[in-house]
Amino acid sequence: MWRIFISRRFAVSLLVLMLGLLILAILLPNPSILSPEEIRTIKEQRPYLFKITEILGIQGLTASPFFFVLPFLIFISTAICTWTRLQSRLKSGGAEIEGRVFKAAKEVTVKGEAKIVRSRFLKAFSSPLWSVQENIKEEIPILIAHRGRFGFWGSMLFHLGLLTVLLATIVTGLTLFTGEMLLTEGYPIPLKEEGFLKVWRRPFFGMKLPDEAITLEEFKRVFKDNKYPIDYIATVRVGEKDGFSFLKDIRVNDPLKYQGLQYNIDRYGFAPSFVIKGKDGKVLFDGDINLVLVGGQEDSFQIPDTDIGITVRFYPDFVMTKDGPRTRSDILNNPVFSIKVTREGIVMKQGFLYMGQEAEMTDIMITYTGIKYWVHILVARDWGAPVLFIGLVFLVIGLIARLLFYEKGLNVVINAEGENCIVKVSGYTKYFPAFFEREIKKIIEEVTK
Amino acid sequence: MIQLEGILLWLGVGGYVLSILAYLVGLIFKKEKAAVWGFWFISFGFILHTVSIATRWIVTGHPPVIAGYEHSLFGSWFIILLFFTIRIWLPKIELFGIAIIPFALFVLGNGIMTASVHEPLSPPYQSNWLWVHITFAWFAYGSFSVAAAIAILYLLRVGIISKFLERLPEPEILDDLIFRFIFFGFISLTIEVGAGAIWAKGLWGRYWGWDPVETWSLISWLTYGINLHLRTTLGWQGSKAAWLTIISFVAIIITFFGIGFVVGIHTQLL
Repeated sequence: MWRIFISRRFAVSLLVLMLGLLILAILLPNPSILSPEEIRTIKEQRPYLFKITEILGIQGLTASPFFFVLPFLIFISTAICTWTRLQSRLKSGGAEIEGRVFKAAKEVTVKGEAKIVRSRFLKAFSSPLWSVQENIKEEIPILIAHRGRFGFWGSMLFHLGLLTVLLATIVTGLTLFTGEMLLTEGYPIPLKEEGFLKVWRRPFFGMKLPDEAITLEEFKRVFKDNKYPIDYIATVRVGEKDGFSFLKDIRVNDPLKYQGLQYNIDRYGFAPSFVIKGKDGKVLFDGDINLVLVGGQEDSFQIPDTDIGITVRFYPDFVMTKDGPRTRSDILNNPVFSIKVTREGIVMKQGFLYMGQEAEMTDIMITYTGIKYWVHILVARDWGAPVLFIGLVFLVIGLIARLLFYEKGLNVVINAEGENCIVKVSGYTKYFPAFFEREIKKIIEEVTK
Repeated sequence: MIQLEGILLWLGVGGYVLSILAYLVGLIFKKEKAAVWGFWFISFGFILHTVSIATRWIVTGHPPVIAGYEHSLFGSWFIILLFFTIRIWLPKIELFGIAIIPFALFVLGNGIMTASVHEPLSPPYQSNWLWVHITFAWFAYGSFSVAAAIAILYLLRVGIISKFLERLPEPEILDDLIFRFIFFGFISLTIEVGAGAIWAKGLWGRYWGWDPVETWSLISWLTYGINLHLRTTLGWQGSKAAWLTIISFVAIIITFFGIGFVVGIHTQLL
């Protein structure tokens, strides 16, 4: 068993298996990026594909226990392999280069005395990256130069980084909280679970949410050239029960961080204010409607205690074209509503409504009194994130050290023969043997100049 | 595309095409001078390409890092930049252009066919991590494309048309170069994925969400991680490793265009 785990073939096999599963998963339809209609079409027209997608699609795969076993095995294999390499390194004291090395050798005749040739070689190794030792055996100088002692530690750091990243995914799995909230301007919403639209994920060991409320005080959009959005600012008030509160501007890349939770703006929409009165003048509805369909511009709702349904489509910059009503932009230049009144699903009346306008539609009066915004907030807490970032730093430093400081060494034996010297240069390198041969050639050229 | 930017870019493309022709003449008819002309043409193309990017940068107020057109404009520029980088190590390898420039033109051509609207950065893209993410993405994918191009040359060099390619460096040097580019690309890819994770954490509160592009980045990372593992620990080199390099590159391209049969993006409505 131990042998299997320390086998590098086993590690590669695990990585290949993971890669294969991910490739298959990514090529299958992904329900998270498909519309409900597209999902329904696949389900009806290609049920076998839908079944496969449920199991092997990215959502199904990453939620399956098997997908947790695979990284776990990679973690164990990497940990054992790293530990084994570290042990053998500490045992050898770095005297041996682990794994495969490439060897090269060259013999040349160099003009000049052995002493001069020796000093020329020492000059060639003058870079601080080379560490040079000299042995004299039977009056023959042997220069032993090597570099790249950090390379091994780079590899170790990379493995440590990989282990840390895998550990981070476990920490995330145990501590992740995700949910979503919908805030409409002016309405306080509890930060407790009852204030959430949906809680997607709870931490394994549970968690306490703040016992306070959040209110969207104002939502602002900034456009460039009256066309391109360049900033979204949601000013929120977070208040405690005892009356203490503070204001914070949440921007897209600048979330609210409060009591270990992060609140990000995800999307926004319009929330028109309507007053709806019955024939007798009785107020049937007086409030704001969050339009959450068609990019926050359309929705339907039922007037409480009646069988009257209303479908609202909002045009922030209304224009009537030959193809029907359109909006020129998202800017509130000419806000107009198209309103459809239905009774038991049958359309009774439809028309347009301008700001402040009151319209009679069948037996109700609708007044459009103002416009607000709603903002969709993603709430998250993840203790795995800092662990992941530490792991990534280890990975990058480890890889750079491995690439820059890989092991290579040269032995130079200088044999004096009359006025010349026969120099034998032999060496090893961990990587890039062809470049190493060029390097040897270059050193020899410098020495024989 | 404003007029000046377009003119500069098309002239640059012309320079690249002429350089391929010059290199081909140099290779087939063994004309040294044609290879020199090839280098001048590619330099001319690169300068105009650079000025075209700078023009766009000035007009939009941000580096070209959003949408398909800008990605291809910048990505192809990185590939050519890597060609010049190889020349620092191996000055007499102009003929590499035959393999590398078509890759750059393929990337550029793919982008030119898409809309090139001049837009300011939308709020999700206004993060310093974006620059790190995108820059290293192009270093990574630029390196992988160059590695794949050299792998093709390697196979030609050791294969049936080796006689025509004697002026290229020895196969062993090509093999080392492939390894270097994959190694460098892998480091860049790791930084790209890391910067993307930090950016995602600030944007959505989570560092990973298995969205199509994230999954694809992980696929690329695993692909080239396996490549390196096979080379460093199991001793893959030569033709076997060259084929692996080409297959890896083709696989990540196909995977990208085949994402769930729908190319998904990270961002939602905002």
